[in-house]
Amino acid sequence: MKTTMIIAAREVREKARLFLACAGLSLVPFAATLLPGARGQSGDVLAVVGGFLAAILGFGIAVALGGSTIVRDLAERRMSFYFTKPVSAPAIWIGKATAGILVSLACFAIIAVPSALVARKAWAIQWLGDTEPLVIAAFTIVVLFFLSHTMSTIIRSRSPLLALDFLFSIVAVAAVCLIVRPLVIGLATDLAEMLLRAIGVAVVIVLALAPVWQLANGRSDIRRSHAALMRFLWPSIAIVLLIAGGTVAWLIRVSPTDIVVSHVAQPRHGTSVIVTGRAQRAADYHATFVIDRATGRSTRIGTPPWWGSQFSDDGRVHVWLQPVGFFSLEGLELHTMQGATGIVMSPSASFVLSSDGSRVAITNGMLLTVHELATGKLLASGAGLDASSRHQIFFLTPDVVRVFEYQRRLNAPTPLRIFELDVRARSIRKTGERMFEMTQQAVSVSGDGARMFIRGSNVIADGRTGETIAEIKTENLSSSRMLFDGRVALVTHDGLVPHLRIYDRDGAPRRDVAFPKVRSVGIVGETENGKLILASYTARTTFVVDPTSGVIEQTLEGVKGPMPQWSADPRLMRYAADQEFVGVNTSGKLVAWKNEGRASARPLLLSR
Amino acid sequence: MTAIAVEGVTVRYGRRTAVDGVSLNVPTGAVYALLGRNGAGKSSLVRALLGHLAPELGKVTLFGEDVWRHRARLMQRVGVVAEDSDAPTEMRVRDLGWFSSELYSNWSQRAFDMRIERFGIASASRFGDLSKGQKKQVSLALALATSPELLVLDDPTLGLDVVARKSLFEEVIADMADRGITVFITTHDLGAIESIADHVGVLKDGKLVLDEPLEALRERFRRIRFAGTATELAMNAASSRAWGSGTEAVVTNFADDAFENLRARTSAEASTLTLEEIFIAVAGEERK
Repeated sequence: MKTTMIIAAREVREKARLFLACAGLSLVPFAATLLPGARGQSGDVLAVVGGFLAAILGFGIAVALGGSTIVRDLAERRMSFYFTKPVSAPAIWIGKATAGILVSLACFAIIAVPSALVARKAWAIQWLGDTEPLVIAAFTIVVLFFLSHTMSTIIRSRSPLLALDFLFSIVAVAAVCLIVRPLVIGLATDLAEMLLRAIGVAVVIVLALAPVWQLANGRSDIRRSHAALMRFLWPSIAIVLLIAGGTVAWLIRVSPTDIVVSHVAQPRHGTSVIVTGRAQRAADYHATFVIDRATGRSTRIGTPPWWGSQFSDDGRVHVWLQPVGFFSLEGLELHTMQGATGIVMSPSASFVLSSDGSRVAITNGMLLTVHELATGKLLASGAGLDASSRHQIFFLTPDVVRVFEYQRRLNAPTPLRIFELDVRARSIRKTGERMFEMTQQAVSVSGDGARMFIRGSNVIADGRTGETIAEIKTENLSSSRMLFDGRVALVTHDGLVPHLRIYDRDGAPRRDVAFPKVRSVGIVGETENGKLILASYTARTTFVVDPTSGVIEQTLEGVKGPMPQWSADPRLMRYAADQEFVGVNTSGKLVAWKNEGRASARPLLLSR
Repeated sequence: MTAIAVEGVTVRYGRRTAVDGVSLNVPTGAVYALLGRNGAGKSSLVRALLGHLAPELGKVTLFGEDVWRHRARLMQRVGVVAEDSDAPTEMRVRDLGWFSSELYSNWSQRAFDMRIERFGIASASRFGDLSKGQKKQVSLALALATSPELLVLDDPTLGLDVVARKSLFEEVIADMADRGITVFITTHDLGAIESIADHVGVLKDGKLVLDEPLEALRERFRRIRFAGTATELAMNAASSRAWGSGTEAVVTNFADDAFENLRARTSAEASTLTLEEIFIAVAGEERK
């Protein structure tokens, strides 16, 4: 300990002139306040210039000292001065590193403190809203010092081992990407950030300890020193990455019973359901499963459903998107239970599955394409879409795809263009165009595609040409849906009470159903026997309403689900009359309920 | 007791072997001169001896302890004057004294100050501003002020003028006389070392080709001039050449009986060799 302090004291003494230079530079922020543009804002100028100057010099000095404190002595063959003295390798490194870091921190403080004292308020606003910026600056100085030492050792040794260092660096970065990738795909941003921080801290610890090994085994020869550094550095980093990889592998290994379900989706018919939830032991990591309720069999799929997941009407075909590329999101590929389809699209593309599940339509940039799902074969394509616009698409018939195209201009007039691609004729043409005021999901369509409701403008329009058929006067609209038969269901708020308002095909009001016990409801589905399903997510209550009579037939408290689907496709929120619905209870567990007048839900075996 | 024991030490830099299986022992109180041409491996052996590099094979012990493992502790007993003056250039001479005084338990500030004064060096001078000779003098003053039991001098006179060389050796000799320390020295200054060395080792291409007391060497190595041919010489000749109508040879195993025989036949004359002449005879052959 004593020798460490002696070495640190010697180093600090040698670099004492830096303090004088920094004391001189601490006047620069004060000089900056004399500039013509700074008049009246001297506090802010002091804070900004003082902060930036302190950071730049503090970081710069950390890099310079980290790169020279040991390595310069090694390169100039002066390290033997220490190794001929009765001092250990750890004492040399700790003493020199402590001095280097303290000098860097002191230089940062010498520049920062005078301006901070004079302009306290401005400093507090600019930098010290909390202590985090200071902690980050100090940590950065430490990291830069260690990193600079390592880089400098590697470079200045001029050893052929440099190539191996380069290779290992690439492998390490690639490994980090591979480790973090499943977390990012599972939307575990908090967990990914936590993991990256942990890896970062561990690597900094390795960088801090490696020079001890370097000096203890490489001693005064820079090439041997470099080799010794490598022998410690890379195996240690490999261990850190193995631990991180093992932790991630453990975290993401979840079963359907481990998750708190946040999203469910199911087809019109059939027993399949797609379930996404947060894994209980893995912070915000989400896992997705396809579960067959008839057999209890579950299959893990590598994507959350909000990247796109659809069922065919009979529930036998299920497609979803999975990211392509190891290190970045290069594209999304459609997958089925049988595997990858080879149909790849950009992350901004939209897709829709035909009702029989045999075809898929994709808007990808300017192109609209239709593929055969089983083979990936391109059946038809058409150009002429605006790549910067948003597209809602659906199969009008198995051979005709309709596209609604509009700009993302909220609450401002924007053109709505309607296109149709004829698969047999392999031709695309614009069938209509009109202006409208976009809000959220712009368009919902009747089951035959003949009519559509345009939200924002609140009009019933021709589904093909966009021409107005009827206008609906309404205010405080929060949810809208054109029903399968062409009627329109809107949710509005009169004061604090949400109302479901039903309009006939010509826009005449027919029913008004109030939901006084909840603060909001949304339309989430429609059954083949003409019932509407509404859900209040804040109150976690699901309602079944007969839109013809205006009667609330069922109220399921504590149940959320089915979920809404943001698509123009009229079939996607339509369910069989006898369909058993899957929802989520207040504990995040799956429950099932039926539209048969019994206001209860039973837990699903899978999620106990 | 043995101060230095080198056992089968091999040092390699990549594929190049700098020191090849060298073994030697230096008894306590001895002055061991390690000689060799440039690139023979002297500095590498010294670095291994000081625990600056781990030999690929073999082991070095100082005072019976493995120097690689116990370097820090052993350096309390060892003073070193390196081939290249390695003190930080920004440090003042007095600061170097302060730094060493904090590290060595046997530090003698008085001895350091006296030597610095005797050398005529201002203690406020920066080490980097000193001449080459002064740097060596400061290094020697630092090394001797630690009251070392072993003094390692790696080519201490390299680049020094005659006066500086003499001054440096006088200091060493004085300290040896005062305290009887062990000295391990590598040098090209064979004339100066001849008067103080009692053991000599010669490294050639990394191998220790000669290792014995200087007196024994002087006994063994002789120059013989005789009227005859080299084939008549019943001793090992390191070198031979024509000398007038006769021959001059340097023999490596001089024996009185054999010489008397030769003198009886050829009027031979024998003379002793200087260390430099012995070194040339042993290591002087040009490398191929």
